[in-house]
Amino acid sequence: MNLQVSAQSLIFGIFVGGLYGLAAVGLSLVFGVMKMLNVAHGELLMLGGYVTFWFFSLYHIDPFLSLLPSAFVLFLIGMGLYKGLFSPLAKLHEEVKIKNSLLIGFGLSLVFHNLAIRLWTADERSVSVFYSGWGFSLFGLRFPFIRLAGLVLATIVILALQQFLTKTYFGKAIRATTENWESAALMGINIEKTSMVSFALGAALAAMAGTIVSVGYAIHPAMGLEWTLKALIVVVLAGLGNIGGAFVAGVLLGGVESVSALFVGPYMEVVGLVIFLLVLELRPQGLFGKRSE
Amino acid sequence: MGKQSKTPLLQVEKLVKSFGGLMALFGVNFEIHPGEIFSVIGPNGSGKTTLFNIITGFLKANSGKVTFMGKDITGLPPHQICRQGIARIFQLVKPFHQLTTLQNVMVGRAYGKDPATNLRKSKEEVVEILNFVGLGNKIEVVASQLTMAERKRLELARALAAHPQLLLLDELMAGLNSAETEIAMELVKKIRGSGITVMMVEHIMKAVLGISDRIMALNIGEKIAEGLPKDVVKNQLVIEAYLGK
Repeated sequence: MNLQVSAQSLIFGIFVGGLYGLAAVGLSLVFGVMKMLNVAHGELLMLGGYVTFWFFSLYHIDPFLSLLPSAFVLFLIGMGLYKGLFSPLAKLHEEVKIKNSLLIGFGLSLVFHNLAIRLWTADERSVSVFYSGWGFSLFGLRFPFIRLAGLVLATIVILALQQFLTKTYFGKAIRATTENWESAALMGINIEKTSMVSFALGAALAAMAGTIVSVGYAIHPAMGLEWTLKALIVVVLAGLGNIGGAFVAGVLLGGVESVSALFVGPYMEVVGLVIFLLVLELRPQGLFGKRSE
Repeated sequence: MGKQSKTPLLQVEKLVKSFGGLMALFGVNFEIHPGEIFSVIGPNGSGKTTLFNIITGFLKANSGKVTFMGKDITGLPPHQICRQGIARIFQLVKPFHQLTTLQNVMVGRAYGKDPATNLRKSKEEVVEILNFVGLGNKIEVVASQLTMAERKRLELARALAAHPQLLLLDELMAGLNSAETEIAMELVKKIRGSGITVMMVEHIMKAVLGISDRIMALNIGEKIAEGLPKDVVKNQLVIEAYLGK
């Protein structure tokens, strides 16, 4: 095993890691605002990928162009899911709320999983564009164009989200609600609307990640759980509600997994989970999280 | 003007609230007039905080009506009630822990009644409010670093920044030492002096008797007395409720 192979693995790991980060920020946003864990987050990502796949195979729309339309479709689905399923939980006591949201999330993930098998069969699908094989080499390392573009897009989306949360009126309302929803309500912030938009935004972010996955990698109906787990690991690594941190943690996880695959082969999934446990044990506020009392 | 002060700022009629089989409020009626300091007293579990939660929209009453400035606000969500002009502080303070005192109060200014359109301009006003409550030298301190007394004052500043006509104080003095209580009492009087009507729930009798214009006593969800402080404390039902027969 030489250095070049390791370096190449690391680079591919970083490309995937950007997507882990993107998947995680959506989950983190929803958890932060509503204190609900949406375990169907990975399925929303999967749906976003299939929407892009449909746009491409039915209407021949370039997947990178359908990034926003696909996000919009999932935004609407997210709004519907919030209104129909999650909003009745909003007023419950925190512990009851999270348990109920887990149940709803598991149910949803089963429904979406089976719906996807019905609609798109259980085969792996991928969007292959004419530039799929493009790329360039640097120091003997391969940089595929679509994966690089995926990482760049993920970075841009996360930066935009961070600007939205820190600079806009509505974004600030989201952050205030994350810190303390009761005080936020008392200060004139509409919690119901903030929660709905946050949930829909989480779904839209998942859809963008799913879109990029459908181009650079492959999508299949059973991918949801795997992505929910990755997102969860990244959220814990980064510390809750830390958007920039989630991106860095995602890249970190991707890199570590990919390089460790050279040594432990198929057990690379375990590496992420071991890191997850270690962080929970040693640094529960996350690698980049602030300690709160 | 004399006639206007007769119309109540807040009017609560036949308020009923039960939690399952437990009656928390059982047909409570009262009125608060503009410019008053109106206190609610009663033993633990008498329904004081429930009353606050209903007025501010955190709980929905089973029946009854809440009217504020002539408008029916029964059942409105908390953010809309805030924007009508009712602000509140919690018994257990709930600051935005990771924000500085300035940013905490900014939230009230930005989202409360007549929300600020220009945050840079409203910063001046927010600093003024912080000076008013005595946190002028803690503007850049993160809320989680403040002492209990300071957090209470922060909560007060944040409520004031939402431009209320009516301010509900839920045990502002609880957990304060006697010197801090004196300061808090002065502050409440100053707030009333600035034209804001105050309704408070308080256990510390010295504070209640010292600054209230009128007092209402609750016991197990029912009003047992209402009137001037000196009359209410002599009321036989009130004494029994606190001390037993």
